[in-house]
Amino acid sequence: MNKPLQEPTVLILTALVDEPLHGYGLLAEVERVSAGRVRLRVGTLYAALDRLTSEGLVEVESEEVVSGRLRRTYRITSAGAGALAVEVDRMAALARTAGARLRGRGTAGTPTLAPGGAR
Amino acid sequence: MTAERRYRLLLRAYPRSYRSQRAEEMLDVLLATEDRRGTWSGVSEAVALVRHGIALRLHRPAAGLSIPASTALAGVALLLMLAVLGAQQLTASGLRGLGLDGYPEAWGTHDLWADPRWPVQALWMVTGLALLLGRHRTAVAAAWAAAALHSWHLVVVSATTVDLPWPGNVGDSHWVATGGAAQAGWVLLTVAGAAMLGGPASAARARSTLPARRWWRVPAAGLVGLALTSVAAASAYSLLGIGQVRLVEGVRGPVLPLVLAAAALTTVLLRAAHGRSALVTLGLLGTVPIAARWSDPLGVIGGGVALVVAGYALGSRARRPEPSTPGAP
Repeated sequence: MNKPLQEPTVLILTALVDEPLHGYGLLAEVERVSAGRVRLRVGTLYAALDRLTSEGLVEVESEEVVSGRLRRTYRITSAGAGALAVEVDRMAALARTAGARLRGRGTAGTPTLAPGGAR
Repeated sequence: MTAERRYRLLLRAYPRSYRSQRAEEMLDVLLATEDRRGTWSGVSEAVALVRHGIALRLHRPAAGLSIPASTALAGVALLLMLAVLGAQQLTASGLRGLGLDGYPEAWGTHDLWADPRWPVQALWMVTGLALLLGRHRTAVAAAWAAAALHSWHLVVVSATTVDLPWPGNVGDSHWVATGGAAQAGWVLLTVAGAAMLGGPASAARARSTLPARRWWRVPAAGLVGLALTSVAAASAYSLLGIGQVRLVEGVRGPVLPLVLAAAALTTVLLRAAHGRSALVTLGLLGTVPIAARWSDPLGVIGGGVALVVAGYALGSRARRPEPSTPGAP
């Protein structure tokens, strides 16, 4: 059984699903995807990118020099999309189980995943 | 202290080899992030950078050689070509053993079918197959095993006063491969392939830069060449007779499979990042077996080592980003 992905990893992979992004774009997209809850540090981002690249979940799509500095664009691989899909299924199953138990306890209705949704 | 100087200072926590590849990219992101957020991220960012840098220093061998991307890519390409060569040589041996090579039966060549270098040829093929399947640890292990075995084979065939053991000898009668410049040239390419591939991580990085689904064309082209060569050689013996042995032996050789595989490889590399630098390195290394036919072994080895060093230098140069200029990212 695959080890569950950590939240920053899930967020990075999710951010790359729609389009390849460079480092700064990834930080902004992770923040947007998490509705502002997660602001990755640059050191954390690159530690995660190194690991994801070595595991073949993410790869460098292109390199260009912008304002004298190298800028790499990263994209999710098919293996990365597969790993994300497995994690999403796992999270959905967990959410269903938790929701069912909470409903049985009578303390919760339909849980909302909307950002800022107060219950 | 300016933001750029502050971040450059923090990035010194990273190993030099990592900084040479990533520092400018990370600096770009750090400055852009600070610009967007309006303030520097403070202690937490500094801690994240230093922690990652120290982790890399602790987990990377300090004296480890950093393989330039184009050099590792040239190593992958070279080992694929050697796999095609190995397939050609093993097939030729197999056909000979089965009596399907077109030689007259009276020659009894099937009694002498086993090329003593078959363990090296098999390891070349294992390396190529492992690279294609993404088994990078296996590929690196097989490449180094081939390099060690091929080097030992050169010692065995060069030894004139002692009889050294060699695992490739089959049966009572076997080919006696001779030492010399030609053998040394191929040994050099085997060792160079393993050295340029680096470890499993650099092999994986190099392979990931190749366009997926396209590089299977390389062994496919080699196999087509192999099939054509095998059929053509046997047919040529039937048509031309034994008077044209040299011509037919030329047809049977590895030239056609290697040329077709090289053509496929070139089209793949032209689409890959660092592919052009890898092609230059590969082209330089390709001169080794040619030069070997007119040179002494030491000259070939010396020249080959110089070419590998040149390959590393070329790869490093291609990888280095342009000098940074002050200004907004």
